[in-house]
Amino acid sequence: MPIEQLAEEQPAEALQKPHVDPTALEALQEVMEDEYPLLLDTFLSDSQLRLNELHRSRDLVELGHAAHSFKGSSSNMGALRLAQLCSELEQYCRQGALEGVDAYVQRIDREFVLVLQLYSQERARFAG
Amino acid sequence: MQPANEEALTVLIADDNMTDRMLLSSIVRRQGHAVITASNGQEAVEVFRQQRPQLVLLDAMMPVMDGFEAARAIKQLAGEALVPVIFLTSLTEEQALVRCLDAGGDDFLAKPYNQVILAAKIKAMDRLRRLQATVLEQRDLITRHHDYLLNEQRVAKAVFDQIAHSGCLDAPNVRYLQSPYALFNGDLLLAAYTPSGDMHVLLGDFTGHGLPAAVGAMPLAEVFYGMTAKGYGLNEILREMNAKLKRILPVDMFCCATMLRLSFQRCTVEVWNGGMPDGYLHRQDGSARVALVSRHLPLGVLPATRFEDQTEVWPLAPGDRVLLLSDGVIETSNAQEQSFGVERLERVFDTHKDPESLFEGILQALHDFRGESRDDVSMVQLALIDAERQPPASLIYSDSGQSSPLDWSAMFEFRADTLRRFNPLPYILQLLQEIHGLRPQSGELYSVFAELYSNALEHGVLGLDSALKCDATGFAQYYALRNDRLAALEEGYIRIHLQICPHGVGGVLRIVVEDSGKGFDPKQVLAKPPSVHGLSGRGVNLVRQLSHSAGWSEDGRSAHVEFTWESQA
Repeated sequence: MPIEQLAEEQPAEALQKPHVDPTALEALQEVMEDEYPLLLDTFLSDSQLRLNELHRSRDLVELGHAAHSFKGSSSNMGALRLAQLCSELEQYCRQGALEGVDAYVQRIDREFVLVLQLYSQERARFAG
Repeated sequence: MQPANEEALTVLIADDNMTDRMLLSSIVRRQGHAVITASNGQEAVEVFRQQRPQLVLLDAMMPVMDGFEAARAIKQLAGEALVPVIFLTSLTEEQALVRCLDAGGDDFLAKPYNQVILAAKIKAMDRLRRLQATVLEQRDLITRHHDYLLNEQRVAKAVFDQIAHSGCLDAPNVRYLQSPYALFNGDLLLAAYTPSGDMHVLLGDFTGHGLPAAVGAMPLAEVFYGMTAKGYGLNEILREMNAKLKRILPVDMFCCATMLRLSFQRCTVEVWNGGMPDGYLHRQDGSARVALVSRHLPLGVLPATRFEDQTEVWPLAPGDRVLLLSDGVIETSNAQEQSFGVERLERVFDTHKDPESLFEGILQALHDFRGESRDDVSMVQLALIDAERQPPASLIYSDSGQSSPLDWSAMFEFRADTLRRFNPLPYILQLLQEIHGLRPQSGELYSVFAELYSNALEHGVLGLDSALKCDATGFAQYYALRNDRLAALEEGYIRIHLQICPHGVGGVLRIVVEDSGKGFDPKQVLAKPPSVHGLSGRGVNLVRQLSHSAGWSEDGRSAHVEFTWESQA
């Protein structure tokens, strides 16, 4: 994808995915039962760490690994668009395309802001 | 939630992502298992080493040590046991997935986690794990049993060696080959002297392997040695061995056997072959070899009433040899599954005329044919050599001799019906064993009795002419005629008179053997020059040599012999 078309836009495929998959959340709630709120908390704080990792990466290999890891937990938690973005970043890193990588990291930052909001709302449904 | 027959496992979950770790732990716990966790590869290996979970879920990409290396380390720690390793991965590329399996992973689970699939995989892996554990357990059990069996065989062999080595396989005229564990292939080789210095040899082959084959050999050996030492003939011993095996062995077990009596005095070999491969008689003068063919069923098959004990008798000259082999020789097969066979064996005979090299010749031919030697090849070669008479093995006596009968007489009359079916010599000899002073002369006593009785029966009662035994054909005719006439015998008798009297310091035994035949002219026979190596004769010289004094009545129908002894201190 040419660099010019980046900036504010998100790639077409990612746009297909919802920010949060409600059925995934339901399944998670069923599995975790009482620990569901704890899982949400863990995801949110863990994700911050993942983001920091992304920013701190010094080369494409490290960045690729960080993206891979973030992709894993996002997809498990139903944050599908976020997972898709991470997946594409991972592929870019593997292909060795240095340009456009920064733009991806920014896109992931912005998506996470949204995800953070949505999951905090979900968390707020449970007192304590 | 979980069926009762599935056990709860301890599952190790290693993932550097806390969210994933928490989620997966809950899922697995919900499925009824206990969970332990690690956050990197090194920690995973350490936790595994200490807590030994049954199943491991490993994230592929982890810091410090990645999943692949951790998997290798864990598999090594697990050793023979199967610890299933399932890789957790959002890797989608084929290469990466192959890497998982190359590292020793047994399966992989994709993210996002599907609970149903995870449960199914855990169940399947656990089944494999338990299967492996069963296999190892059974392998160990089998090894233990195998060692146990080997030990039993060692013990059985030790017992058997006590019985078997009371024989004379090491006599100078015997060459033999047998593997030390031949017993457990069912192969049996026995040899013993009779009281008169003849040699009995038995080469046997029991059905089966291992202890079942060996266990029949012991009662057989006891009969062979016991009866041979008491002076019984081939027929009686074979009948007794057959009856014993028939009685004690299961229906499908039996013993093929060739038994022979080698007589140095008479220069004959008497043969009975039931189910064994042909034996061979090789003549020193190079004339055609004689095949000693199986003419009977093996021992232990027929009931006593139907057992056939007819033997064949062949003349032997010094230097002639008898060769017996087990079927291991003929049946040795090569890589193309061909058998060594009788033709190849006969070719060895043709190329190894020197009897000294025949054994090696056969072994070499077998080796060339197959390239390795078999464990169940047994062979024995017997020669008629002019060795001086070996003293027969002495029976062990347990009494002190204080109650020997020293002044008595007895007369036995054996009539036609009895002569047909009964050999009285072992009983008479046993009776005379009661006289301790006579025991050192048991051998001579037996030889003399055997000679006189055989003359009385064959030449006297049956009217056979020993002149018939002038050549090999005549020999065969003579013995065939003997069997026919004996079977048809209606009239006639042999009387044996015994008289024991004290005499000086010891005593004297007077024997008279009288028959109902036509008699002969003793003066004529005694006048002839002694034929030491001839095929027949009335054994007159032998009798005179062995006893204190010997003589014949004028009509030749009764022989009288004396033995004397000095009493022991």
